[in-house]
Order: sequence, then structure tokens, then C-alpha cells
Amino acid sequence: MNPNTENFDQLRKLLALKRYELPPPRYFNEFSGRVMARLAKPPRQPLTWLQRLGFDFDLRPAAMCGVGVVVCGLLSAGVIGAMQMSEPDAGSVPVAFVPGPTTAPMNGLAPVAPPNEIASIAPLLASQPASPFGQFGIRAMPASFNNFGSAH
Amino acid sequence: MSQSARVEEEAPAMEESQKPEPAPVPDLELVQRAQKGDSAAYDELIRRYQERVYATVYHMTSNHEDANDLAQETFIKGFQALKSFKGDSSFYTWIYRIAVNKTINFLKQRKNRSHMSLNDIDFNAENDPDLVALISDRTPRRDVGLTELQEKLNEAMQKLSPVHRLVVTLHDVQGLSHEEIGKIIDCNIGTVRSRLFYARQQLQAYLSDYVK
Repeated sequence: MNPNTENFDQLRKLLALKRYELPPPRYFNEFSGRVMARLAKPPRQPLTWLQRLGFDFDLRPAAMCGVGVVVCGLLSAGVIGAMQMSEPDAGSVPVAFVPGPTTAPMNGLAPVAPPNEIASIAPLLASQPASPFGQFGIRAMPASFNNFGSAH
Repeated sequence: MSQSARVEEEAPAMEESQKPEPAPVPDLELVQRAQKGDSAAYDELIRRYQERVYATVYHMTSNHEDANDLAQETFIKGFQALKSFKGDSSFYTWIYRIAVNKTINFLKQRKNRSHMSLNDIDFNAENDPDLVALISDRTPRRDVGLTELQEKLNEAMQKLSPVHRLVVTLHDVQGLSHEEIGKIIDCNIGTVRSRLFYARQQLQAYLSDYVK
């Protein structure tokens, strides 16, 4: 197809409409002034390494406040978590592994209850709620008096 | 003050107003002065070419805000690169080249995120016989017809690739010759002609409802 024979007359007339699209009035009166003002501005200072990392304290106070709150929250959570880990958890100790009395055994004999007695109080021990004062070591313990009289 | 004295005072003013305007300073002289740091000379160069540079960018982007930014950046870049201007081409071609390169780079980055922000049509368009003939059989209300036509035309332009849009803008809208366009986009006249032909074909297809 020969480009010269193609009829684009109407299209060219239509494209002429674009010549009538004009910017707001007086736009060009101020244009060169805006360019010259931008040229007169001092060149932008290069960013510091802190600014490159986003730690722009002057420009982002809100972001820095947010970071501060998060850091404080994490610190508090860490301290509380550490305190909880150092406390014994009373509810999780099974009955079969409950340690013996803290007092010294009399006459070198361990106060061991026979298996049938432990079984009789086991339901009571199992239903014992976790004490909020676990750090005091208050426990319900099976007691035995089997060897108590033999000391005499 | 006597009447004769007033006449004597007014006479020089009349002579000044009748004086022919001095010949405009050639671009090259203004460029040389601007290269030596004369900001007034560069201001004059901006005033000479601001409308054409803005129009080129605007017709390429169909967005006034983008055109404003890019036109300003074109002249800023021009000032910064003025030292490298040797005068091998005219200042006009040189500044156009900067504008075109900036605009094409901008369009590549923008890709399909085009948002039109069109300028208002000058009221003189309603008196253009060619335009009136185009819209008169479509709608009895000429203002509505022109606005609709403007939107369709810009939408069709935005469907063209940037290089095809550029040749249509420079030739059919701004009236530059093939040779001038070849110098600006640094290609031969044959390439300009073939791009123009292809772009017109595409536009004709997009605007088939408006162009017979």
C-alpha cells in the first residue's frame, strides 16, 4: 500500500482538535519563573546513612514513637515472660512425683506411705487446684505413721 | 502646564511607540550568554520554547500535571547540560530532544498506569469549520460533541506506542516536518514516514466511529 495514496484527511482534521487543548490561563506567564526558581534552589544535600536506613528522626516523629512503643512492649513482654518461667508450676506436677515432706525424716526413716494409702487419697490430690501461691510450696501430702511407734 | 509643553512631552513617547521592535536576539547568542551564567538569557529561551515543549509532552501524556513536571524538568536538564551544547543543531532541536527522551522514559516507567487529565478546549475550536463539520452530524450540541471527541481522541492516542504517538504529535498536531522530526528522534526520514503511516492507520481504526 502506498502511504501517499491513503486518505487520512479526516483524521488529520480530527487531530487538529488537540491544538485547541490549552493549559489554564496565565499558565505560561509563570512557567519560566517556576523553572528559574527551581534552578536557583541550592542542590539537594545527599542523604546521611541514617536517613537511607529510614531513621529520619526529624521527619518521622510518629514512626519513631511507634518504634518506641513496640520496643517498650517487647521489653515488658520479655521481663514478664522471664518472671513466669522462674516460678514453679504447681498444677503440672503429677501426683506420683510429688516430693516428700520438706521436714527431715524422723530417726532416719523415710515416711513412705504404702501404695494402698496413696491410692486412697489420690483423687483428693488430683482434684487439688493449682495454687496461685505456688512459690510457697504448699502441698497436700500423704502422711504415714507406720514407723512412728517403733521409735519407742 | 501649557498645551504646547504637553505636546512636546508626548512627542518622544509617540516616536518610541512607532519604532519597529528590535530584531529578536538569535538563540545561539542567548545560549552563549546563558553558558556564561546569564540567567536572564536562559529565561528568554524558556519563554520562547515553553509552549511547544509543554504541548509536545502534554499530547504524549494526555495529562496536564505530568506535562507540567516534565516540561519544567526538561528546561532544568537543559540548563544543567548547557555546557555540553556545541551548536551542532539548533537549540530548538536540542531542547526538543531532551523533552522527548524524558517523556518516553517517563511513559516506559508509567507503563499502563495512564490517567488522563485533559486541558479545556479553547473556545475558538467551536469556530473551526473542519471540526464543526466533523461533529455536526453526530450531535446538535457542539460543546458536548467537542468534549466527547476530545476524550475519544486522547484515548485513541494513548493506545499507540510512545514512538508512534510521538510522530503523530510532532507532525499532525504540532506541524513539524519529517526532516525536523528525524533530527529530533535521531532517525532517517523513511522511518519517520513509515511510523507516521502506521500510527495513522491505527488511529483511524480506533476512531472509526468519528472518521469515515
